[in-house]
Amino acid sequence: MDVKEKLENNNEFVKSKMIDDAYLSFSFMALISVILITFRAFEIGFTLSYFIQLPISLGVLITYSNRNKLSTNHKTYILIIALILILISGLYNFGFLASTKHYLILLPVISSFMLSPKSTVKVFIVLLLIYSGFGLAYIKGWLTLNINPNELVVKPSTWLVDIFVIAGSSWIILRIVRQYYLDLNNQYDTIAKINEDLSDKEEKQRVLFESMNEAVFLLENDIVIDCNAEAKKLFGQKINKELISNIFPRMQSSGRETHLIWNEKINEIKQGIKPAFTLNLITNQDKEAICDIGLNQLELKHHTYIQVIIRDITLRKKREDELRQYRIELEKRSIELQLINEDLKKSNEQLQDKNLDLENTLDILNKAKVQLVESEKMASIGILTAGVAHEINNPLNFIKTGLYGIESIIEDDELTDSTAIKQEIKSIASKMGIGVDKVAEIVKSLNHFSRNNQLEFQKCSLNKILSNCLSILNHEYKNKVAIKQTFLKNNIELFGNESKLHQVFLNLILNSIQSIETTGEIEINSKLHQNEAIITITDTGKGIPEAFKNKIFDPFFTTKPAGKGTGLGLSIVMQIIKDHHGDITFASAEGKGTIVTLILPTAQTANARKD
Amino acid sequence: MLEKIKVLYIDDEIINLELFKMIFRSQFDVVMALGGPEGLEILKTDQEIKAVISDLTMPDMSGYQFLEEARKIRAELPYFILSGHNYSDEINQVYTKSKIAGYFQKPLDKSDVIFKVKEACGII
Repeated sequence: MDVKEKLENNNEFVKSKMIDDAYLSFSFMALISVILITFRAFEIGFTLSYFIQLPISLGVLITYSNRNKLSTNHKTYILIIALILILISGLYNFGFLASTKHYLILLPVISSFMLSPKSTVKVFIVLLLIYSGFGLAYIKGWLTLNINPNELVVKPSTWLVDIFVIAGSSWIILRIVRQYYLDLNNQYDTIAKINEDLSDKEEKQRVLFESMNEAVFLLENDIVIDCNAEAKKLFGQKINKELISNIFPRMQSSGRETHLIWNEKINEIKQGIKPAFTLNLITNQDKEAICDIGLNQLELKHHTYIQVIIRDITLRKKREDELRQYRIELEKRSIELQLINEDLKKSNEQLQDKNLDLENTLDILNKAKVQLVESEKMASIGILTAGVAHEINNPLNFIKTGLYGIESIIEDDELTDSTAIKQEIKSIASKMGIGVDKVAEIVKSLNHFSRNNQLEFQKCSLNKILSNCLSILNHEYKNKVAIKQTFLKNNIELFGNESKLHQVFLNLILNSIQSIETTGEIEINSKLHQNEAIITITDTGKGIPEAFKNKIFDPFFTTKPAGKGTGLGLSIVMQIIKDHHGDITFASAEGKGTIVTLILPTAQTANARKD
Repeated sequence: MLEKIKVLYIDDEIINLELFKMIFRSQFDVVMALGGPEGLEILKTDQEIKAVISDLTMPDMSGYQFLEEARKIRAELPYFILSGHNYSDEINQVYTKSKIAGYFQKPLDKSDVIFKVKEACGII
């Protein structure tokens, strides 16, 4: 309900209450005045005024009893007319002495509260005319006072009626003013309440408006007349009260001018459409933001406003773009993965093929390894061939020259002394014998190397093995290296493969010999330690360079020129020693020499293992 | 009868020396030296020596060293090597470098020695 309407309704209600209240008072007064005037009539006689006042008072009573059937205005006019008639009758009978003269004040007051100001003035003028009319009538003598004022003034009823009229009039004025005052208070409360409701509502709406995540503008003729906090945050404080076009970039990414698009949309509103569209706008940081925009037309107090709702979707757009990019990327990856998968499948097949090839190759390599190991053995022997040949050729020379000697004895005709001949042949034969023994010895030691290939373990004399090796190597060290054979003081029996052990010591001693460039010394020592043989070969050679220490056991590692060594010597030595559950270590100082320490099982160790 | 050629033979094996002297006694006057140093001493003192035969592998002084020293004393003499080694590149180098008169391999061929020594001495 409208506030004004509410207040008007309230006014009507108050007026009807006021008139009813006035009627109540007048009815009361009418009742008493009927009694009083009747009482006075007996004192001063039944005047015209009595006969007028009586029906009027009764009329007021009747109107009051029917107050609910009559409108406020009707009741007001009836009351005013009744009072004017009473006034007239009073003035007619008593002139200015009439008690009802007080109604001259009462009536305008009632009118002013009950009627419009215009009607009040009319009532006021009518009253003045009546009063001045009676005044003129009395002055001109058209009317005469039938009563003696001196008599009237001493009569109690005169004073009583007068007091009664004054009191009644005052009472009615008081009632009306009181009622009006209450009503004003009431209205004030109502307005205050309405005001409070309104400000509460406004505050809520303001909060709603300010706290929106969207930037909201209220435009009038493209000028921002209000905007919310988000709008100020997004586009800066200065946008308020300025042209909305301040946040327009000249061109959109589509190439169209922003203001053309804007005008187009504003025209759409006029056709009753609520446009929703996307534009690039310039933000507070002078950056272009992608914005969703909604336009809406509002009518407020005969003004036309345009509400603009802007949401910055730059981030969302960016995310969407990124997501799209990711999706494309993923699809690409997926295809790539499929391709890779196919490649992998192919590779797998190829690998399986390769694996088969490798297995075949491994077989071939294993066979080659066996051949290589064999050839290394042959190479070891080969290195020695020259020396061995020399060692054999020397004793063979004894035998051959011996034969020449015997031949010359036989052919020499001058030799006749048989004793001398015998002596000479004996000498030659013994020398030939030495030669034969030497050859036999070398052949025997060579035998040890070429003996069976199988890993047949048996007891074998360490000293014999070392002696055999030294005798084969004689040519290699003779005149160059002094061999200190301190092992001879012990007689250790090893348990192992004799042929392989020969190969081990031959390699190690040969290495020592070859490490000595001019002259030097090699000491070969042996001792027993906890049933194991510890053999050391100490040379005064050039030593093993630091860089090679970790490599010497590697297969094919060699410092010798190509063709001179296979590089397998020490790796085979290592293998043989492992097969014997032994150990080999090197300690070397470059330029000073090398100590090789070997640990090999003895016959006792083998027995202990068997147990 | 012609005077026998005086030949110096150096070897570290006494057996080789004795047997050599015995089998060549009808052809050569063999002077024996047990090792290079002794051979050099003899070369310095005995001017009669017409040819030298030396072993290669010997303690104290190798055949090569001996040849080098010996040439300083008697450069004009024919020098021969008698060794158990098979004829090798190494020996070939010495052979050409030192211009040795001949190489004999043990076990020796008696007639080959007689022929080459006599040839070198200009008797044949």
